[in-house]
Amino acid sequence: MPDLKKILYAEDEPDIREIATMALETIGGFEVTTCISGEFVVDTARTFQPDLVLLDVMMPGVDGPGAMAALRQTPEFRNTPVVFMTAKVMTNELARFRQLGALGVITKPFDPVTLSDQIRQIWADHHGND
Amino acid sequence: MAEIGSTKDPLARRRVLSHWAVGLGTIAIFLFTRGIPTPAGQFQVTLESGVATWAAVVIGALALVRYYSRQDIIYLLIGAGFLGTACLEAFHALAVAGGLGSALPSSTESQIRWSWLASRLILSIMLTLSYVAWSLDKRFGMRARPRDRWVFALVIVLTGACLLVSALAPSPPPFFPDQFVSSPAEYAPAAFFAMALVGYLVKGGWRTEGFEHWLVLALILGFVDEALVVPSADQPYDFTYMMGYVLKIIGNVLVLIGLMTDIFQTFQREKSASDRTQAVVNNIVDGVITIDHRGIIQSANTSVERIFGYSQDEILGQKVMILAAEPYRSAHDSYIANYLATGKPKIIGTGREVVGMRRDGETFPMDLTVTKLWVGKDRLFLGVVRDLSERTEMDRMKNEFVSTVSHELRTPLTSIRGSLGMIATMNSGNIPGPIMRMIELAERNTERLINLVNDLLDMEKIQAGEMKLRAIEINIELLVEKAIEANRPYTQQFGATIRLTSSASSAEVLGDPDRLTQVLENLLSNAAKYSPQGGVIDVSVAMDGARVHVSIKDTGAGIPVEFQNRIFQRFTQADSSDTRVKGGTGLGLSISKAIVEIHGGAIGFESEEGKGSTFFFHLPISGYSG
Repeated sequence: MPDLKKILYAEDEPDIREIATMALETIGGFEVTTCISGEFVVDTARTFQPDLVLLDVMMPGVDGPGAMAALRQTPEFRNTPVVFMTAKVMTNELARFRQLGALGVITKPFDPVTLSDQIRQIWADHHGND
Repeated sequence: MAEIGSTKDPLARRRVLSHWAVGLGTIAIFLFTRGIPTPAGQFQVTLESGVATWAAVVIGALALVRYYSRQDIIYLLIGAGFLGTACLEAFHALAVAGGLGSALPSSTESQIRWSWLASRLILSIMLTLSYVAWSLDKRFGMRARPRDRWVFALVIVLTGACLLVSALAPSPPPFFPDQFVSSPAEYAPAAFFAMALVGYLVKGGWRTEGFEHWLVLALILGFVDEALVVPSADQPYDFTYMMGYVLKIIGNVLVLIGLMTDIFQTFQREKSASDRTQAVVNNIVDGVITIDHRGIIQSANTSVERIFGYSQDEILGQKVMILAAEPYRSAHDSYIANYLATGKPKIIGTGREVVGMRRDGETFPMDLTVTKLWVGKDRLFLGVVRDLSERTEMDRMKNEFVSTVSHELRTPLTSIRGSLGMIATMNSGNIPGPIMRMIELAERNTERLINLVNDLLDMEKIQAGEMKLRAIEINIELLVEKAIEANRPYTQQFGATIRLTSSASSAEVLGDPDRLTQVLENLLSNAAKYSPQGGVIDVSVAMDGARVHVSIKDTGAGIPVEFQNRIFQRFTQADSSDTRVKGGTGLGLSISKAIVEIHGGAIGFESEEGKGSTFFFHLPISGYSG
């Protein structure tokens, strides 16, 4: 199983972005780079080369699924794992996100204390299935 | 009586003038025409007596009709008095015409004189008594009121006695042509007319009432007639003699005019009262319909026309079901039939939301309240219909607003909870105790707010009919086990334990596991919250025909009876102080109910105060696994 170190995180809400980033960095020990919208995901990914991309589903402009589609169209990120974050009420659409090829979905409001563990679990599940 | 009754009132002043004019005018005519010979004879006198008789009959009948429609005592005595008088008048007319001849023992002259006196006496006495009865009524109320039959008996006895005396007693006529006053007995009716006149003037009704004004005029004439004219008439058929008869007829006609005026005024008053009622009913925003026991529309106000688009002509006589849409249309007949048969109201007396149908076939939500009425002997149903389409639109906007606000609340709440969580986790060793407790407090309340927001969003989805469910085969026993497991730490906080008994280990239902788990968690956490320390929560899963039955029994305080029928409503908790003590939003049970119902099941409870509650739900099973 490859190491999970670098996470690219797109989220439009600045406070949520900061808390998640702090949680991932301080509790999870990950290296995190953030985008404020889906449209910067591919460009940022080019310079940052993330192991995993964490995308908020609802963002103005290019949303989570949009950003994922853009990644998939870029050859070097065709297989980069993607995890979505979405509101609990949207869990009905879980199946749709899986279909899009997401590794997993983290429901909001998330618990920052366990966020890193959740991501590690998804990562492990994914690589366990390989 | 102060303002209206005072002579400042122009109408009353005019009436006072008319009293004086009639009284003094009559006296003047009497004085100037005294003893003037006329060409009149027996025929004219007979004719006048006949007219007076008929006038008295008509007055008597009309006055009694007034009495029975208005229950005003004066009309009873006046009516009876005039009818009694009419009998004696008729006798008098016959006597004057010479029709009785020598068949009777008394002389014709005696018959004429005595019957005249008797008829005037009875009338004047009854008019005086009518005033007396009114003042007794006023002073002592209805209990002092004489019965109808006593009044009629009195009149019949008096009239009969007078008839017998005039017809049979061979007494000489009460007529003394040689004396200064030739008929002194006429002063007796004159005295009664005077008493009645004073009585009615004091009563004061003449100032405002049409009838009493004309009655007062008639009493003035009666008094002048009996006190002045008749006693002085000593030459048959001279002007004064004839005037006695004419004044009597005029008096009767005046009373007749009074009665007509009164009836006309009453008719107008009733008409305007009913017009006013109709105008009020028509201006009510709600539709107001009356239907008979067969469901036929008897009346409908203007709002009904506006709401449903039918005109009055189209709707009256129609079955009321044309205003309802299915399934209410088919059901309506049976509502009324059921109600009449069993006396158990299904929609009577309570408002309920049904679907109405306009003339163009458009359906709309309406609130219908039906009340049973008795109008005389007819049973009617009064339906009040309120068009809810606008309110429904308002509801939709309100829900949308709640939804938007809730969504907006989630993001900041997530930030707050996240920050608090990280503070607590990352610095747990370095934070002083009191501050740590405050952080925990903030965290717990943030959690509550988040739950509330989630519940609100669920509720909004349910109401908008947008709750989408997955349909997965679920082993219900496994689902219950998982929910119990997840809820165990929470239950332990309250010192309670959960015990599961299942006899339906392979039952499967088709549904959304997340949503059904939400129901179970809600019921389990409620049971835990309300359990006493050391309480046992009994959970059972059992087959019940083609359904699986899940029940959760606690040994808590139970649900107060007065609260039981509201338990599944939104924002309800038995005691509002519970919200603080127990936490929770008051939405859980109504959400659970909606979820269970969407799954084709039903939810309910049994509770006894002080002993505990059992909440249960059942779901249709889709098959068996394993």
